Amino acid sequence: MPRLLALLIVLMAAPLTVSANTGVAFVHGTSKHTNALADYWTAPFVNSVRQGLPNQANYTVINCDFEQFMWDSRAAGCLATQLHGFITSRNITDLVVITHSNGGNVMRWILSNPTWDSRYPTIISRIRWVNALAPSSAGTPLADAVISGNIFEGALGWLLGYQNDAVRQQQVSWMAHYNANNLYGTAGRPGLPKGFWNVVGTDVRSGLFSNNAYCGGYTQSVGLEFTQNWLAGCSDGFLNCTSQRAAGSLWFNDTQRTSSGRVLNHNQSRRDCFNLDVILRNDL
Amino acid sequence: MIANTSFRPGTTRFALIIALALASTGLMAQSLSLQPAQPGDLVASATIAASRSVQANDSRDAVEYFQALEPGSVLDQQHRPVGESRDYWQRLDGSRLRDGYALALTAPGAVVMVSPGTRAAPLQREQIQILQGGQTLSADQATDTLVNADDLRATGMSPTAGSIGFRLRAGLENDATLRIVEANGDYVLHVFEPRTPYALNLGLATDIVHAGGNIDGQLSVSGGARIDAATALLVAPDGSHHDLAVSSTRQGSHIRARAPAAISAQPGLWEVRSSIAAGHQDLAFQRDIRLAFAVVAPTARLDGEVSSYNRRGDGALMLEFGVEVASAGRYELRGALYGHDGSGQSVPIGVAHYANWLNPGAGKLELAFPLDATAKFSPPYELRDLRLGDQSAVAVIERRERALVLP
Repeated sequence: MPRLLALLIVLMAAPLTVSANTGVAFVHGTSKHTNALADYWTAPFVNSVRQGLPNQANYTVINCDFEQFMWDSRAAGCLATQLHGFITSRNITDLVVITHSNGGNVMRWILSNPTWDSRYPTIISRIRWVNALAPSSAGTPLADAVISGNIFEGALGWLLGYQNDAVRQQQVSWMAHYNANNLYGTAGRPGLPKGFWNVVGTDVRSGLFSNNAYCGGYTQSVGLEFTQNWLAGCSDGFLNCTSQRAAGSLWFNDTQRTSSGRVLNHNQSRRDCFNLDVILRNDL
Repeated sequence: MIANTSFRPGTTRFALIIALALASTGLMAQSLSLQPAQPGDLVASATIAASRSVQANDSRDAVEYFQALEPGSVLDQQHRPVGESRDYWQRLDGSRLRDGYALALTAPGAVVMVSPGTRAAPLQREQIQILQGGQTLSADQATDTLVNADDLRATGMSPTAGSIGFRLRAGLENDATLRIVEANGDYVLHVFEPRTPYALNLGLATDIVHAGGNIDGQLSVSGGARIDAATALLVAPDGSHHDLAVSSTRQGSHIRARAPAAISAQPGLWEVRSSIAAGHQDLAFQRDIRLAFAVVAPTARLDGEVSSYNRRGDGALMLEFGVEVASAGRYELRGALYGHDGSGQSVPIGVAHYANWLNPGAGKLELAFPLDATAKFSPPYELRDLRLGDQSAVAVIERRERALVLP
């Protein structure tokens, strides 16, 4: 369904509720956080986006342990606790969820498994839609690359590159399995109960004379340029575009909406780079 | 708790009329049977009790949920795992890297990662040398990109501390040898050849196997190359592993084995891992591959009996399924209802979900399809993509593509 049509449906439904109370939640990617505002998103990004809210206090920055499998109580369970607490304490009736990277998978677990937890249906019912920034919906070959060592030998005692469960989960064949059996929104599966709109990073620029390289940190851009070797021609340095588009619907490819048609590498898609914050702000 | 999120309790005059109409078509209080299992369905011949040392979900709340489907939705239950690899990994002792290790490349632009293991110090770029055609080239001369672990960690990747990665300059791929000056301890070499025509492919017959069930896989290599030798392992989520027999024919190499009858409660997927030695004309090369699938314990199964009726109050079409339970746990049933639209086409109406705690013995799980969703469609209805899940183990334990016809 085109996003404009989805917006019209939301607007048509709005008069049915007395007065929508809009909120926004920021859901981080693979990592364990106690202060994702400072350590993952940065305050300038979050503060810029929430300017689009009628009540700018109606925002929450999620802090969970997304180094676990998506269904784990420390991952989806923690996310449900914080989202449910947010929507009930502030009476949010119209929630926009902004996820980045693996945060999209954890959010998709909740949307796809409504009976897992009695709080999930309430959370789903309050969501307007999810804006999924560079979601790792089909995994990444980079997760496969770091889970290596002598795993092809019988002696497994010396496991180099042991990774957390979230990295294991994002191996390509693992996500293919979870998409086919545990998650909605990919081809051949039921659609998600709420819109899941992808923002896709399509390239990485790391040249010393490229302005594009500096937003979000130049050293990060250098690493992302190298990791592109594992990826297809269209990628954000961490995820193939096909993975970012595998679930839900395309909202936009970076160059279609960013200032001067800049690309968003995997780190820039969670920062106030090239007007992304303003695009998200205007969507609230 | 019952969460009815997508429909409202209460009967309007219109809904009552529809309920009566449905009743007149015989949809209330009917005894039905599941369709016989079809090829590709996952149906256990018996249930088995399994340990629950790691409970993924021990909630006792009953939760139901209905989600309407777009009329054009196409549900494809079949998922056969397939994988492709242009990679190999090799564990190497420091002495082999000090002497030089032949990379056995097949194409320009190889991406090489070297990671220190036990007793090995973090690598420095000055230690990297490439020997080729009688020359010794430094990292700066031989590579066009070189990064360390910190660079990679900044991208979100999770490399081993002290790793170095580089891309070899085109033209150096023939007889390239990697030398690491003063290498000491154990290392892992990972070589990825994005431009090689020689990819190892692995396919499995199914993505979910019951404990004790058959595992069928096929290995092949592209680019006209031949597999000279192949080995395979079955690795469980807890790290335990079993050798898999590989047989070779002209068409490729086959893996055929049985999954263990007793499996651990560790969450996660199982993997078939395979290594091959292969060749094409004068080239000899190595490839490794991993592919995920699930081995699950059928701790419960549908007993085949179904009763349908209309729920008092909201008129929802209810389908109640008998369940044979071997291990106490939280079980979920979900299925997609199809009906006929105004033009007589069979179209998806929606997916109903229901989960509850079941104790060993005979149990019941029911699916509710709200009246306002079904009222626009005509019988016969059909239940497809019926899945029984064990939420205490994050496992789909029964799956039927064409489960039930409601006349």
